[in-house]
Amino acid sequence: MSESSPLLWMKGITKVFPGVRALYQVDFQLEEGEVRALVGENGAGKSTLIKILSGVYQPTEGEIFLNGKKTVIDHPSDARKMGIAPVHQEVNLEPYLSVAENIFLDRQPTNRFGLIDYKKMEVDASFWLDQMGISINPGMPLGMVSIAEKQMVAIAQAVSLDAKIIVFDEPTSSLTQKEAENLFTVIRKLREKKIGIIYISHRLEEIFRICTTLTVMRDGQVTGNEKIENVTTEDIIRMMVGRELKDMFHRKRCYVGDPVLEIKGLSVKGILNDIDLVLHKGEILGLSGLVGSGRTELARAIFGDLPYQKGEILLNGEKINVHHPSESIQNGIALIPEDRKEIGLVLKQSVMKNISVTVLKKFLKFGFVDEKKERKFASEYIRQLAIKTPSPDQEAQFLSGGNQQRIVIAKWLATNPKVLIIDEPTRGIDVGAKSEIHELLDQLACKGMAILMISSELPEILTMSDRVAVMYQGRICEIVYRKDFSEEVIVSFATGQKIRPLQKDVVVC
Amino acid sequence: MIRKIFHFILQQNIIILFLSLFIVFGIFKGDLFLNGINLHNIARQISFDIPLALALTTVLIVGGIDLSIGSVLSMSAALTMGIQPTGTYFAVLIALLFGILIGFLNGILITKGKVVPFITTLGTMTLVKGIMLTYTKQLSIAGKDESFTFWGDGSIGVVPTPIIVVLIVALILYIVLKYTKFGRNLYAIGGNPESAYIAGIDVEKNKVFAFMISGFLAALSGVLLASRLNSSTTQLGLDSTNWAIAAAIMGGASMAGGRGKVFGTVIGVASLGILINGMNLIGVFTYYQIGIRALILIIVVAVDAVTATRIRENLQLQAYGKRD
Repeated sequence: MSESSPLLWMKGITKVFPGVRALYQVDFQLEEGEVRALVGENGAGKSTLIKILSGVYQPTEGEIFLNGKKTVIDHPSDARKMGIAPVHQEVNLEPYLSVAENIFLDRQPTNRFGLIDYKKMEVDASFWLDQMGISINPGMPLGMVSIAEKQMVAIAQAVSLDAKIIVFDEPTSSLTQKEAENLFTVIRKLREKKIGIIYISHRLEEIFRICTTLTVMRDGQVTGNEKIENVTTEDIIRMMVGRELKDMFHRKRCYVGDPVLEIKGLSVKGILNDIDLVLHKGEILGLSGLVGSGRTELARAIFGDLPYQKGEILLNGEKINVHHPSESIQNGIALIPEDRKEIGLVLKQSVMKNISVTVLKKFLKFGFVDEKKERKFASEYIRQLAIKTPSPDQEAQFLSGGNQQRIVIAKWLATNPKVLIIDEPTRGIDVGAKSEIHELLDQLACKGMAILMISSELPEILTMSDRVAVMYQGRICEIVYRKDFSEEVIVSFATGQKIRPLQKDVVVC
Repeated sequence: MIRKIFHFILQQNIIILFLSLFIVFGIFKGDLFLNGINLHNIARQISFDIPLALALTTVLIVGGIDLSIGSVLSMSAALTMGIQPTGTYFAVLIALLFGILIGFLNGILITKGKVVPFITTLGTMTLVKGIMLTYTKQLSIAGKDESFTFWGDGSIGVVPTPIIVVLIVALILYIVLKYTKFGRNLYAIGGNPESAYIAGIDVEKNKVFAFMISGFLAALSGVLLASRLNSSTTQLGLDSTNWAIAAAIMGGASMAGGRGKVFGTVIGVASLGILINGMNLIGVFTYYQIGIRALILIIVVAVDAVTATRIRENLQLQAYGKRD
């Protein structure tokens, strides 16, 4: 530590959510004029740390010091008053308000009667937008501008706050090269003004270009604090991933059989473009790509949750028409959604009821549910999937994230699917529980289930998949085979740096 | 291009509707419709509906709904008449404060009690109705102060007094919603509560204020109606809520929150007023009119739901389209 107190010192921060410990004893420091990169895999705890800094969450333990003074940040407005300005993601803007109003939300310039001075607001907004190097009409409703422009508006909002600390969370994920360059220029200017900057990004080359220092997080803990000139890409990745290869789950290589699900020329206007894909019996097909590349939408289209205009879906060689999820379930397709707390589970219902809900018809006796049968059925799944619960009657909310995910899987296995689509199977789950879920998926594949696994976590994609389909801008731009697996290959396709002419998916076994 | 047209129609549809109604009735029933006395009547008629529709607009903007406004209207009319012997304007003050109080209660239940606005205001609707029936002993109350009828029944020149009062109130509300931070915060909260919260806006406090404004406006409507009739009856405000919802949504507000315009709502009420008046002139049977009103409400809400989805999808598609 330098002899003067740092601009920001988050000391011993621990944050516990029901079932998950997101942060443990995190120390984080930031000096004036420093651009500190914060890196780590998805779920490493970066976002949680930032939410604590910006007053959205309260830490379970730990203290925050600003310029050496102990501070409590109870509410986002507190953070703002203290000069902490997080750049929000574009979904956290106001779609119906104008660009200018979004930039100056809750601090609009007023005239001498205390009324909002729209003219001045738009002039001021133009000034900040110019600084960003974009030219959009500040009077335009925000809903009418592109995602990249929205991102720039969010940045303009934070930069215009006259803050001491600015947090950028994946600011370039939806920006073009040119827009990103503009952003870097802005960041350099902010640095000269002695503003402390926290920069979260997955793009390591950006970090080497504009950051001065680096903090690496893994599994809710800090695993490294370095000056940027002292580290290499390899060092960073080692600190991020941390575990040796032997700690990671190894899939049993299983026999991959005949095609189960074939997708031919599937298109959804503006979202999916001419998708060809074959999924085999006993195979885990990884589906990779950036958020917004159409991964989730593809899963929804297959499941009948998103109407498609062109193309066909074949199940065991027969064409099926899916217009509604209920038809897909009957056809033997199951979708386990990403957000299990919101749509996958009824948290306040018992484990048993959560499992049996998809097949309740089976237990009907004269129109009433035969609870004995239901309990027996649920208990069987609890045993099979090793769900740790004191009883089938325990409410799902009291179980850990890993066990909740098992309930969701059990509930869909109960429908006896041939094809299982699973979106982000281990998001928000502790590391230990992760490999157990992986083992479960492996067992299912070995029993002959065809699994389509969507995941943002590259290690997961690489260890679990037999093949990986990489999506970019609504297309499948490459099918990567196991022998070619590497993070680099997949990332370069997913970010569109490498685009091969579309090749049809061929069967290799 | 399609987006532009879509946007334009969204912005202007209410004015188009208003003008076409005006023209249709002008052509077919010009002699009766376009005469001064009839227009004077329409203006007076709609002036009691405008505050209610503005009340709804305010809560719709913030992403809520207020079903209690009809009951608040009848109770405030009863108070205006019932307390009149003590002091005419003292009674008005009490009636308006009552409306604000119910709005406050709604706001607190919704923000602190975490009860959804629909259920909260459904509850207070019945509660206030019960209070009103108890207070009035289910009887009409006649006014004692003849001069008070000026506000609801009088005219300034050829213009009915209540429409002047109401338009002044509308103008103030317009300025509040458009030109104050408080007003813009209401839009922000309804448009995206998460975004409003992280921008540091006190979401709960602002919501409570929105419901207080709603209560005040409903009570104002009651005061004016009491003045117009120089009495209060237990039947006042019975189906006004439906009407107000229809007018607000026609004027650009949305059940999905974040949108709504004072000017649009006023034109919305006027359009519905003209429609009723026109149906009367043509001689549509009263009971059919009830059906037609219900149909209008359903159509308007359905169109709103479809447009809201359409806008959301449009934004999504466009976002994908521009991703390069």
